Amino acid sequence: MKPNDEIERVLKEASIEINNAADQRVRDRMQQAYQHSTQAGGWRPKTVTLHASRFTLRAAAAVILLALGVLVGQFGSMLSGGSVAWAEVAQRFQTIPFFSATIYMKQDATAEPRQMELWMSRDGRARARLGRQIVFGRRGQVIQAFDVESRRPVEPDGVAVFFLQKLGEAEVFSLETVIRVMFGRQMHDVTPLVNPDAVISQDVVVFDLDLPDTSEWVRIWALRESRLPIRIRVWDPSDGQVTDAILEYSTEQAAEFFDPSAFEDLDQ
Amino acid sequence: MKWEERLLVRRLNRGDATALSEVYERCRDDLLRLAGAMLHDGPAAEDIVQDVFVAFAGSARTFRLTGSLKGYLATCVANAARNRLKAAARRKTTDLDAVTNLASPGEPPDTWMVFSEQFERVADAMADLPAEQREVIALHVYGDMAFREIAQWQQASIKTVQSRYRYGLDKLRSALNDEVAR
Repeated sequence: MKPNDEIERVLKEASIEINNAADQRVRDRMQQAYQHSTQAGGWRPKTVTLHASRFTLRAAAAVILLALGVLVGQFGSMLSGGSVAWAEVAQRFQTIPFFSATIYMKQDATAEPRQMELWMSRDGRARARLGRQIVFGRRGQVIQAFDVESRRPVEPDGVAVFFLQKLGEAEVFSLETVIRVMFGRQMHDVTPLVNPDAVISQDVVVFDLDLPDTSEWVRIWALRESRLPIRIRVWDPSDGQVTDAILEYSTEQAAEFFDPSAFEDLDQ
Repeated sequence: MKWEERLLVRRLNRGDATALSEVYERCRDDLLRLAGAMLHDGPAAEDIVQDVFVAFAGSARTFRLTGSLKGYLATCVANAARNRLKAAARRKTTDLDAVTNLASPGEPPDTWMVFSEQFERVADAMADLPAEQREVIALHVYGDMAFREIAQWQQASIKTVQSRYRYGLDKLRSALNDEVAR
């Protein structure tokens, strides 16, 4: 252990004790100030609130893109008469009853990525793992979260809650809504096109969704033969913030896989 | 961590009062220790941290996070602590406790926090450091702020801040020799 570590440990371990009554008074003052500002300011429009956290939006955009049952369909209809390959990808994905995805989120170019695993069935059942948590959801609502090792219920991670909610919302979102809310752009400006330079082999086709007036863009990789999307990236090259989703397909998981009670009872 | 903070802020922007409690619980102890280490004065530290939390709560609906939330709050506490020390220095004939009492006339007399014996020794040792070194150590250890952020706040180079940290720790190591040896 380095010498600095020792003295830093001493500083960090030096504790304070809190008087509960006084602590509650501070909490009350804070809540009063917060409530007062809420009443004074009123509710902000949802679009403005969502626009506040760009990285969260980008992640949400990626996860909503994952719900391609909506979005791919939208792209497909948008591109009728355009890119035939994209329309085929859209149609093919809509036949998939189940998919899983590994999502990596990086806040900037040098940040460590945060990983999330997601399993989703077409009927809206979802299961996610984020850190030490397994979170179960259905149609955009979190049902329950557990510690992955102890299998005890825990407060669900805010990121997982946000993702699952967005997935639920995606069922009613149109592409136009997503673009407007997430990126503040109109649909007619947005067209995913085949990017011939990015084709890494004969087996893969790459689509770029370039958003005007912003440095952000979305890239989608799909297999030529199966027409299935396998990777989605939402990236801002100006600061390196990126959300990458790697998609996998398999036979549908058993109902117990999405059942929080079954997970909790497994070792009991 | 930043992810959670961004989501917390987003919830605050939307009017979620439970998010405010989460921010409070995440930051309370470290901010109190930060203020305590900078001021070596429990009541003054309490006043400052309470004021920072209440001010933050009042602006949380429109708050925009550009860096670390804890770093932002730590900077607010450090600014207030610095101002408090400057004001105390200007009033050389006024005891700091008297200034503290003037600052919050409506507060009940019971204290919000009590220093442990170990923290009391740490605060004693920190009080003997030059102010710049004390600030760097308190902000880095209790505010979780990077040297780059502290350098911006102190308007100094990163190397200077790192040197202040190193020299400050050397002095603390000597002063707290028994603690370090444990």
